[in-house]
Amino acid sequence: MRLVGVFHARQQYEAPDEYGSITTMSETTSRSATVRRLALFGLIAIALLVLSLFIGRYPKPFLMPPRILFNDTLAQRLVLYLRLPRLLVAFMMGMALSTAGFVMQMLFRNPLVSPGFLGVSQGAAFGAALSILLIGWSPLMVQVMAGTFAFAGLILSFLLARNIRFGGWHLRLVLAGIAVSALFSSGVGVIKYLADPLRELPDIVFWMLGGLYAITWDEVLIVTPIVFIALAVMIAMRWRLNILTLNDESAYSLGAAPGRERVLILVAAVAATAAVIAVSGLVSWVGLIVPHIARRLFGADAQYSLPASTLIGGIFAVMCDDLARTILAGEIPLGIITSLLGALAFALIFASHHAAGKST
Amino acid sequence: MTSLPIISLRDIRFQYNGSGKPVLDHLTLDIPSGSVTAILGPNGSGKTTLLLIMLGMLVPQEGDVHFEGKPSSGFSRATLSRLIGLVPQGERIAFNFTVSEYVMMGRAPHLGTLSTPSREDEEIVHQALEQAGLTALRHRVITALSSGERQLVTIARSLAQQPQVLLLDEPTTHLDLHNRSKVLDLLRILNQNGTTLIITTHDPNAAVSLANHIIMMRDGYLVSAGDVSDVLTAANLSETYGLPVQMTHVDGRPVILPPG
Repeated sequence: MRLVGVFHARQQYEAPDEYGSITTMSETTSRSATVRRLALFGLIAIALLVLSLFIGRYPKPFLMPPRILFNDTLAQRLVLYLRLPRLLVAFMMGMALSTAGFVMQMLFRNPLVSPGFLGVSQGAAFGAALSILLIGWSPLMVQVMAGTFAFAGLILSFLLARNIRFGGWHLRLVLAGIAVSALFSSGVGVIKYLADPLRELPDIVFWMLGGLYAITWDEVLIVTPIVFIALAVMIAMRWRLNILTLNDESAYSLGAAPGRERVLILVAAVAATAAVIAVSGLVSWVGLIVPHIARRLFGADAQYSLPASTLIGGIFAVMCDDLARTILAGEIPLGIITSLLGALAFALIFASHHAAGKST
Repeated sequence: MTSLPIISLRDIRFQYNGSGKPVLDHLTLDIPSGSVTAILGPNGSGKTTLLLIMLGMLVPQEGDVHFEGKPSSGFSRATLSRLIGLVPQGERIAFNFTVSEYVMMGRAPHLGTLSTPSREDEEIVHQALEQAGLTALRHRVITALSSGERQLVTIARSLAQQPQVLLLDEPTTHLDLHNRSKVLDLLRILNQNGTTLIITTHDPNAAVSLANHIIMMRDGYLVSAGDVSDVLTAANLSETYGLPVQMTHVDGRPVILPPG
């Protein structure tokens, strides 16, 4: 229901449009208003991060009183070594997936593309499953293999797309991505079939449901530099991204090198995605739904909606992870929660999108 | 109108990969600076290819392209995009950009890869919208506009780009009479302000209503090129279209009549 309120806010913001010719609201005011709304999401993110440090099941479910940090060493260790790194990874994961999803939707001019597209997610799943089958549960090996095969998925998709003799470049990449995903997903099927149903299979299934239960400071150190460099590239090129959604000849006539710039941004998006899913498992829907929410609230211009997508993605992932670790005494896999909330939000957005489309 | 060419093509041969026949075959032509040049020819005569070669996006297998007497290949991507703009045919816009967001994209050649538009860019966009009569539509989503309004928006994007030469690919083809005259009026003003316009069209009447220089093409070769008064003859038109074309005059303006 919160989402419905948010959509109304956007519609109210758009209301002056109909009086465009007589309104005196200058472009500058609307721009600084947008920046202020963006800053608001930044504050919400910080507040949520601080609050989430105290959310959990110790000493009692839901909220830990902050003052026990002064004398309870278990609480101190819990916050510093478990909750803080986990929160940071959750936030980075949300930022990375939703920014990568945003960027890929724009580059492919297709609002239904998600960051795991182009064989990236299924590649990572195959790598993780293979690692579990061959050497058992070793977090480091699972991460390395998942990351490697995520990139292998991307490269295979590119190679295949080059050899498809049908359609334009975008369509060929989409088709190649579907084929490579299916290939890896059948590979995962074979591994599951071969896996020991008591030891290896549960590990594979649990990894594929996604979760941040095993996060330590080691993962923070691995993920942070990759995510930050990739995010920096995507955020720095955010306005340029608008131009890359145009026809090739338009983008070219506006001074862009469409092919080269698209590949650079795409590699940044896949690097961020591969880095986070290597430690989190398959956390679906974040990168698909958050960009839509961001565009709903901030418009299509990536100058504002891309950073909005980054922030909202971080907020969404931290909220989902808070739920995953507090609702039940045991951990609920994060991917289940993001899928559930993501699918609900998706249905809401497209239902209201349809209604809005009729009125214009 | 000065006679110094702003763009000149020398002996251009161009062939798409894997196709047996060149689209353009040893084509040589000059675009006079400050002119409105119409490139006239039937569908498939190589008009769009010619525009993309002038833009620098397609590189011919043989021949040279010069901009103001200097080889185009010597200009950087960014410099050339500040000099030559393009109004493409049938731009597909996949996201709900507003009119002013889209027109702002015309500022890209003046901005670095990593920068975002400034106050000054906003002011230029504001003027471009005003000039194109789009101020009232500036917050509207482009995908909700009519094709005539969209064509004006694309031209407004080129106004914000402030190029010296504007290439327009079939700018009036799918427009009704009202929008067609709005687009032609805007192009006239643009030309009066000093922009050289190069317009492809397969409609000779659209060409003569605006152009003062005409290039007629057929199957990748030049039928004739020159001032409207010199080359616009029934004989040249008939050769261009491969049909017996007749010409008459209404109120002193030439009107081209297809057979039948």
